[in-house]
Amino acid sequence: MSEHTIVPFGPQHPVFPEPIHFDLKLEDEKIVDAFPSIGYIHRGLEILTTEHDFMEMAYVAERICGICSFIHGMGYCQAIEGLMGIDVPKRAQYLRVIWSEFSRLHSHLMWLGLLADAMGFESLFMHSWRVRELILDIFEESTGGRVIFGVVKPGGLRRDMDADMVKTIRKQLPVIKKGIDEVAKVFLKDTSVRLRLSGMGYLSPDETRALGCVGPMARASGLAMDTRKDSPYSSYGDFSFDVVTENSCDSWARVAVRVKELYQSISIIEQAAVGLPEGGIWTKPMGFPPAADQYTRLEQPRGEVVYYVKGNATKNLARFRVRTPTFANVPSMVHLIKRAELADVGLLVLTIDPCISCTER
Amino acid sequence: MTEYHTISPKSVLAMAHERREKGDRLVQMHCSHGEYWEVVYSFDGQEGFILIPDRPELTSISEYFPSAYLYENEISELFGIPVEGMSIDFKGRLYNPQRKAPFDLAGKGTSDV
Repeated sequence: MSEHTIVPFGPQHPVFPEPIHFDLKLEDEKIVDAFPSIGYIHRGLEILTTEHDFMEMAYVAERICGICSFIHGMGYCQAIEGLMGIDVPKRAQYLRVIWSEFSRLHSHLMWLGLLADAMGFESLFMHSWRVRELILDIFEESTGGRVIFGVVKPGGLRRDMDADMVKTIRKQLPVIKKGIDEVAKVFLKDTSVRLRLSGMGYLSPDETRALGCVGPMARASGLAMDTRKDSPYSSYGDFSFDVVTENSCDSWARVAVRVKELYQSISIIEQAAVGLPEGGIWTKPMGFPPAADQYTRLEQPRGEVVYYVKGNATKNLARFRVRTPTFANVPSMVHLIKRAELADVGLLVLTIDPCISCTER
Repeated sequence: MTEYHTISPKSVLAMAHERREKGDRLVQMHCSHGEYWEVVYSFDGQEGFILIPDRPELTSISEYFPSAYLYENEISELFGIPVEGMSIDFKGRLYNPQRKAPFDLAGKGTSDV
């Protein structure tokens, strides 16, 4: 008769960038069940809407996560703009796209570096982060911040980009692309990366759909789901790009999708910088959010994020809710771990690119 | 602004079955409360919402949408709405809301309930 052992895994673990805990039920080295626990960094950000007015909440939304901070702020503002019927100026929409896509570049490069580090490929980790540094420099130059930017607000933006900054961005894009070429070649062609990741964490398209996966997790299993294409928001409808998918449905496919999305983001930024319209960057919201609901979706680097706001005709919202991509990907993470070897758990958890700060809010 | 279809808690399973048959994707579930308790189900196919007034006892839709169990555990733990028949029931251990400092060692200043 087999005996089961319960092994506590995390929250402090060398592979985990953020704290999540699993109780793993093992049969020898094989995991037969996994029970996740979250709650380490639950900050109650949603309830803060009862203390901060709807304009201030943009700052709170940005602080949900340090990696997708801009897109969190933008998602919140987009929900408020939908609720109050505000038309965001075209220039602000284009600038939001530029900063969003830089956020995607920065997030994917960070994740690729962490994955390389988890595989023991430290030079690849350092090179990925070296390229990422170029993007953080652009953030600093264009917004004044490297992590939290504070440039987005309901109705548009707080800060414009002058012609010199746009020129700098266009000048830096080929440099970033060259850096990406160097690391992409290793991620996509190197035998050791391929051997470590191919076939690991297989998730069929049917399982992916049933488990509610979003973002690169879904696209790596062949599902062409991308909110930027499916229901274009901001000005994404103005740009030409294809949804990146892979069909091998394993951890390597998740790497390949993210690497290819790096090039896609560069192309979108280039298109937005070339076509950047002139004009204002802010439409002033009039009055308070009405007693109604608004629901909006965006594509974060990790996948689809959902914002729900409910007004009550006062300066505070009655409810603010965020469903983050990692939250949607947790069922698949549990599913993958259940069939894995103990030694693969760290890497498997990492392949979904978990953001626990986002998930817990 | 978003349009809702309001249904009763008893119709949740029939609604889930219908959505599953249509090939819709469960995007998210959440709970809010103002004058009433409301549970909102969002699906991809028609961007539809289903709202359940009052504080109901829910039936799990994880039979039709396996990913629903996580939302249902969250609603159950953070809003105290009981959900019957979840495919995975964490029994209050997802967020551990019954303990003030869930991951601190017991007896080290926590108020373990």
